[in-house]
Amino acid sequence: MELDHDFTVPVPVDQAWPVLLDVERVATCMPGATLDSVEGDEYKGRMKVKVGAMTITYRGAARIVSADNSSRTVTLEASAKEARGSGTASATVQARLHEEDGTTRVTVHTKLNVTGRPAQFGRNILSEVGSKIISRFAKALAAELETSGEPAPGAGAQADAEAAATSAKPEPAPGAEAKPEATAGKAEPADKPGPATADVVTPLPDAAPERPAEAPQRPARADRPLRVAREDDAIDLLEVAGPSVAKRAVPAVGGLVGLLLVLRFMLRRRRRSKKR
Amino acid sequence: MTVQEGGVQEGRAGAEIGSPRKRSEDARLIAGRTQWTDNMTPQGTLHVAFLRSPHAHARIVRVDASQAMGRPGVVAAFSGADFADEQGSLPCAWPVTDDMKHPDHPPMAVSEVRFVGEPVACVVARDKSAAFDALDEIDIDYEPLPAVLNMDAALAEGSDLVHDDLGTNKSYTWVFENGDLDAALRDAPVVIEREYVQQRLIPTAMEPRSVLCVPDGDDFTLYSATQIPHILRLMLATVTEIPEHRIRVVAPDVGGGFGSKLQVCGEEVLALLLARRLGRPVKWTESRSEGNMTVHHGRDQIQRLTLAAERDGRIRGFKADILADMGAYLMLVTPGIPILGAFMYNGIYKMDAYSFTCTGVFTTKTPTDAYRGAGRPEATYAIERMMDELAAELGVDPIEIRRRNWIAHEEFPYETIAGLTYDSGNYEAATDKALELFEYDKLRAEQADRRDRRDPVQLGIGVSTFTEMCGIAPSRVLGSLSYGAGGWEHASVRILASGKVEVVTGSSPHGQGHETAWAQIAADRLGVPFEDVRVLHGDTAISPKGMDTYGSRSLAIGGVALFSACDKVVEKARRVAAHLLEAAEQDLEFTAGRFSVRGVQEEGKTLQEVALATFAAHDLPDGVEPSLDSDATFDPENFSFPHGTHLCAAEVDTETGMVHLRKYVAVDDVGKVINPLIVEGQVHGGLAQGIAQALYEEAVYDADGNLTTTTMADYLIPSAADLPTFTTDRTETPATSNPMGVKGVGEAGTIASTPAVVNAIVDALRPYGVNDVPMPCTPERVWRALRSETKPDTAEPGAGGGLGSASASGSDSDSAGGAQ
Amino acid sequence: MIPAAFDYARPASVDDAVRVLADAGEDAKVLAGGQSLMPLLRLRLAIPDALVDVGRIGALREIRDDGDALVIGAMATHHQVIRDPLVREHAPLIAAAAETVADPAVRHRGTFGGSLAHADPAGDLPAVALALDAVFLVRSVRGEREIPATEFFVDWMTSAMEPDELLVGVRVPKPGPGWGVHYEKFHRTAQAWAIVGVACAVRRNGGAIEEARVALTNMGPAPVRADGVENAVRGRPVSEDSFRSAAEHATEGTEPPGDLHGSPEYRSHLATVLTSRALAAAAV
Repeated sequence: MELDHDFTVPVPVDQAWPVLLDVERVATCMPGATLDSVEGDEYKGRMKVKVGAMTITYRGAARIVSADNSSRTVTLEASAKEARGSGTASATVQARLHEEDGTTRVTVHTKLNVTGRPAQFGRNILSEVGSKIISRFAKALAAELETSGEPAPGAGAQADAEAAATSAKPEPAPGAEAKPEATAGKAEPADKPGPATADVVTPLPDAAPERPAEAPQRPARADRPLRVAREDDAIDLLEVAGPSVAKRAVPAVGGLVGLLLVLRFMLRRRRRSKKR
Repeated sequence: MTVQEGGVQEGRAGAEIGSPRKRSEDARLIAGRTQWTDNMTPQGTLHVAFLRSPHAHARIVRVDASQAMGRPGVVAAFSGADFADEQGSLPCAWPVTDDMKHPDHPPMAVSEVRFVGEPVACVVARDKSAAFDALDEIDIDYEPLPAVLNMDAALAEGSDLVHDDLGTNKSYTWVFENGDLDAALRDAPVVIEREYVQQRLIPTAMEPRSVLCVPDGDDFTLYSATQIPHILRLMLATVTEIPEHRIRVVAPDVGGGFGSKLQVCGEEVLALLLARRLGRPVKWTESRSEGNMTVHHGRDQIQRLTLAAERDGRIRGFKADILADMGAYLMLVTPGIPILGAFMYNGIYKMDAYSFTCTGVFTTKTPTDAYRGAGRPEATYAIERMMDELAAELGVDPIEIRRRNWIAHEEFPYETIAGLTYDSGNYEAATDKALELFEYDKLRAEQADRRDRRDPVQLGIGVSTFTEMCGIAPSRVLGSLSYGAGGWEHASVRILASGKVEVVTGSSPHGQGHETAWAQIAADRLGVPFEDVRVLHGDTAISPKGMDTYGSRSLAIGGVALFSACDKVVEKARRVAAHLLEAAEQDLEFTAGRFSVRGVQEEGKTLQEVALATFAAHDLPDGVEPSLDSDATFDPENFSFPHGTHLCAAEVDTETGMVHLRKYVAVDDVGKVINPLIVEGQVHGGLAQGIAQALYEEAVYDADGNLTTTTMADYLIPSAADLPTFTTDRTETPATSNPMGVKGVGEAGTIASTPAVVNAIVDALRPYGVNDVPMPCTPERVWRALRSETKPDTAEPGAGGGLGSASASGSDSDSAGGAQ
Repeated sequence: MIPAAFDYARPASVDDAVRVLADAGEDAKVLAGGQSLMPLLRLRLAIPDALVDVGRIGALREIRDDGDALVIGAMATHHQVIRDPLVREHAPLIAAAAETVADPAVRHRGTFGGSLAHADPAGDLPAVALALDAVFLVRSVRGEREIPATEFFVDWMTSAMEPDELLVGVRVPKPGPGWGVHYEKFHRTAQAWAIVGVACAVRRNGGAIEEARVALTNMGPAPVRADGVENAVRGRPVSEDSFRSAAEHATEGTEPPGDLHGSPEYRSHLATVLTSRALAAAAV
C-alpha cells in the first residue's frame, strides 16, 4: 500500500532536519523499539508492538538510502521479520520538510508492505495498532523536543501532539476494493527555505544541521543493545536476540524505524481529513 | 453398457425408494463415533506442519531450516528444494485448449512463491505442537515480486507476470459460438449490456483437510479427507511415480467438501513422499485459517454480458465474455470450471444466437477450482439477472418475460443453442406451483403499497427459473471437452451366504447420505430389508473402481450403476431359483424378494434361500457359477437437467441497506426421488450456500495480495439464524437418460438461489434507479447503490420496476450500479 | 492453529490470583471465559508468557444487590447475566445487550467481565457500561481501586487496568424507575460483531424525554458516549422528529474504523440512523 501523510513539528526546518536524520534519536520516541546495533549505515533492532492481548515483535534493520540537503528530502528503507511467525514488514519512506512560520511541516510518501498474520484479518489490526503507536510516538516526540529545548513552544507542542494522538487513525484499506488513496497534498514545492526563526529547542546532541548525512556516517557501534523507548509497556529489555537475528537482519535494509515513520505519519493524514 | 428397462415396481414396489428415511449414517457422524482422518493416529505417527509464504509473490532467496531441526521433538525439516527431484508437479487434468499455458506447480515451492499460503517448507515432529512451534525457527529470505491481482490489468500489455517463463498471464481463451450473434445484436431493438462480478468464494467444509500416510514396505496407505479416493490414487501414482498398485487411498468418513476436496493437494503428495522418506506414518491436518488461504477457492469471474431481444421480450441472442481467475496455478480441473458454465448461459430459454468466450487469467492468489455448482451458478446468475433486466427494461413482469422465452414442456427433448439436448422438464408446472406457494400476487400488491407509501423498508421479489446440467458423466462428451478422464461409475453387489447384502460403490460420499440412499435402492431392487444392506465405499482396496463424487453425479451415475448391478443379481438368482423350483426362468416372477412361478404364489424361493443354495453349490444348474455377485458400470448418453423455479421476497431497509429475506420458495424438479428427506436437506443446504454468495461470503485480498478473510469473523458464513424458513416443494418429470429417471440435487439449491436473492434486492430498489448491487450485497453496498442513484420521484412503481424506456440502443452502461 | 507455549496457573481465590499476576509480570494474561483470548492465542496474535485462569474462583460469578447499585461479578457468564432477576430489574440494558453477544455457545462460556476487560470497541458491553456510568472494581496486590467507565476504556483493546490488576466486578448504579432501554445492534450475521451498536436508556416524563443515556459501539478505538445526542434530546417531546434531530449529533467525537464490514463513512451514517431508532425503541 502507498500512503501520503503530513505532519508538523514545532521547530524550524533547520533544526528538524538533523533530527529526522538521526535514526537513533527518532527511534527513542518509538514505543517498543529497541536499537540493537549499528553497522555502518544500517540500524538493527526490534520493535515490540503490544496492544491489548496482542503482541507482535519485529526484528530488522533500517537505513537512510538518500538525504538531499537542498530539497530537504530523506529516503529510508526498512525491512523486518516477525520474531515469531513468518510475516514481514517493509517500507520505503520518503520525507520532505517544509518551512511554515517557524515550524516544520513534513510530507511523507510511504510504500508499506506488511505480510503474515497481522495482514490477514478484515479488522485491519495494523491500522489499529499503528494508530496506537503513533499516539505514543507523537507524545514522545513532543516531549523530546520540549526537554531538549529552552523556552520552546513546549506546551504548544504537547497540546499539538495530544490532539494528533487522539485523532490518530490511519485510513482503512478495506480489502481489495479500495486502494488507500493518497489524500495528502502531493508535490509540495520544496521551496520556502523559510527564515529559520529558530529561537527554539534542541541543542541536538550530535547531529548538526550542516551534516545531514551524519547519521549514516557514524561508525559502527556493534556492542550495544541500547534501550531507547520510553514507554514501558511495549518493550522487552531482557529479550535476547535469538541466534538467527543477526543473520536475519543482514540482507539489506530493514525494519523498524522505517515502519515507525510510516506509522507516525499516518496520523497527520487523518487529521487533515478531519479538518475538511 | 445397457441397462435393463423396468420400473421400481418389479422389486418390492416402492417400499424403500421414495421413502423419507432418516439417514442411517447420521447417528455415527453427529456423535463423532467414527473415523475422521484426524482421529486416526497409528503407532509412531509423525506430525507435519507447513511453513507458508507470507508473500503474494516473491523469489525464494534462501531457506535455512537448520535451527528448526534442533528443536525438541523435531524429526526433520525440509524445504521445497529438498523434494525438488521427486515431488513432481501437481496435476491439471483438464487442458481445455491445445495451447493452454500450464505452469509447473511444485507441491512445495522451490524457487518462487505465487500466493499467500503456498507451502515453502515443512517440519516433521513427534507431536503437532512441536512441529508447529519449530516453524518459527525456519528462516527464509524472500525477494518480493509484484503481486498480480486484477484480471484486466494482468492481461494488459507489459503487466507484471505471475509466471515469468510463460510470457503472459493468459492461460487460455476458449470460445463457443452458435447462430449469427452479430445479426442478433444488429437487428434487435433491445440490447442490454451488463457486467457482473462473481466474487471469489472459499468453500467451507465442516471438516478441514487432513491426510495420513502409512508406509508398509513398498506399499502406502493414504487416508485423506477427499472426495476422490480413486482419482487421487491414480494422480498420486502419476505425480510420484510410485506404481498405482502400491498405493491404497482411503477416504474415511469425510465431513463435507463442496468441491474443495475434489483436488490433488500438494499436502497429500508431500505426505506420501515424507512417509516414504522417513519410513513412518505422517499426518497433517490444517487449521481453519490455513485452509481459508490454501484450499482452492471458487468462482472469481468477471462476466461481460450482452442480451439482444425483440420488443415483445423474445430473446434474439446472448453473448458472454468471461474473465476467469485461475489463481496462481492450474489445479485438477481449474481451467474447466468456467467452461462447465458455457452450456448454461442460455438457461431454459430459446434464442437464435449465442456466443461464449472465456479467458483464464493467472493472478497471485490461491488457485480456484470446483465449488458447489462449478461454472453453472455463474452462468445461471448471468442469465437470470439479465432476464430481470430485460423485464425491467420492457416493463414486463419477470415471470412473464420468462414464459415468453422458455422451452415449453411439449418441446422436449430440445436441442439448445449451446448444443445440449435437454431431455425432459416442465418449467410451467414448477413455476405455477412456486407462484402459488409464494402467494406471488399478494406480495406484488404489498410491494406496490410499500412503494406508494415510500416505506423505508421496501419489498423486492426475485425470480430464478433455472436449469443445470448435472450428473457430470458422459465420457464421450467429457472427451470432446478435453477432460482427462471419463465419467462412468461403478457398483458391485455381493450377496452373502446369509442373504445379507454388501453394496460396493465407486461414489465417495462426504456427507450426502449414500449409505442410506444406496441401501434403499438395493433393498427395493433385491427385495431385502433395508437393514440387510451395507454400503461400502471410499477405499480403493474395497471399492477398486470409481470416479468419485462431484457435479451432482452420485445418484444419476453411481446410483444407476447400483440399480443395474442389482438387476444382474436378480437375473443370476433367477436361473438358480428356476432350477430349484423346477420351472422355466421365463415363468418366474420376482416380487418382494421372492421368486415364484407365475400363478402359483405359494411355491417360491426367497433371494436369501437362493443365496444360501448358491453358496452351498450342491445343486446348481449346469454352467452356473456359485455366485450371485454382480458388477455394473454406468456411463450415460447425456447429462441430466434438473430445473426449478425459486422465488425470493427480500425486505430492504433503505436507511441502512440491510437486506432481510422474508420468504423463499423453491420448487425443484430433480426427477425421481429416492429419499425425499435427503433431497430436502440438499436443497436447504444448497439454498444457504447460494444465499451466502448473494449476501455474505467474499474472499477479499488487499492491495498487496494478502487474504484478509482468513477467519470466520471476516469470512461470513450464515447460520440458520440468518436465513428464512424455506418453503420447498417438487414437481417431477423423470430423466430419460437413465432407467431410474433421477437427475441429481446436490447443486440445484446453490445454483438457483443466488440470482433469486439479488433479483429480489434489485427489484426492491428499482424505483430508486438501482439496477445492480454487486455481490455480496452487504448493507454498505446496498446503501451506496441507493445513495448514488437516488431518484425515487422519477420512478414508476410497477411489477418489474418498470422504467420502461427501451430505447433503440437500450444499452445501459451503468451496470456497476454505483456501488463499490 | 496451536497456541505458543505458556505457563498456566489456576488460582482458587482472588488473593491468589492477584499474587500470581503480580509475580507473572506484564506478559501474563487473565483467562476468563476465553471467547476472545483463545482465538488470539490460537492465531498467535497473543503470545503471553503465562495464563492466569480465574475460572475456578466462584466468588467472581456472584451478582448482588448493593443498595443503590448492582455489583456484577466479573466471571458471571453472559447467559447468567441475561437471566439474572436483579440484572433484569435494575440493568435491563445489560441483559438486552448481552443477549446479542455472538451465539449461545459463546454466551454460555463468555463472561461479562472478560468482555469488558478485553475492551474491544466492537464488543457490545463496553458501550453499555459507559452509558450506565458503571464503575469497574479492580484488584491487585497493591489493593483495590475503582475506575469509572469514562476512564476505563482507554484505547483500542486497551483498558486502564495495569498488567497486574484483575477486574473483580462492575458496579452498576440502579437508575430508578421510569427508564426504557434498548440496545440496537447492527451486524451482518447473527454471530458477528456489531458494525455499529447503540446502547440507549431513556427516562420519560409524560410526553417528554427527561433524560437519555446513549453510547456507541465500534465508532472509535473505544466506546463513545454520545453526549451531543443526550443533550439534544433532553426535554424534547417523545416524537420521531425529536429522535431524528437528536441523532444528528451521534457522530460527534467519534472516529469510526474502516474495515471489511463497513467504511468510516458508512458507520457514521449508521450511527445516526441507529441512534434515532434506539431512542425511539427505548422511549416506547
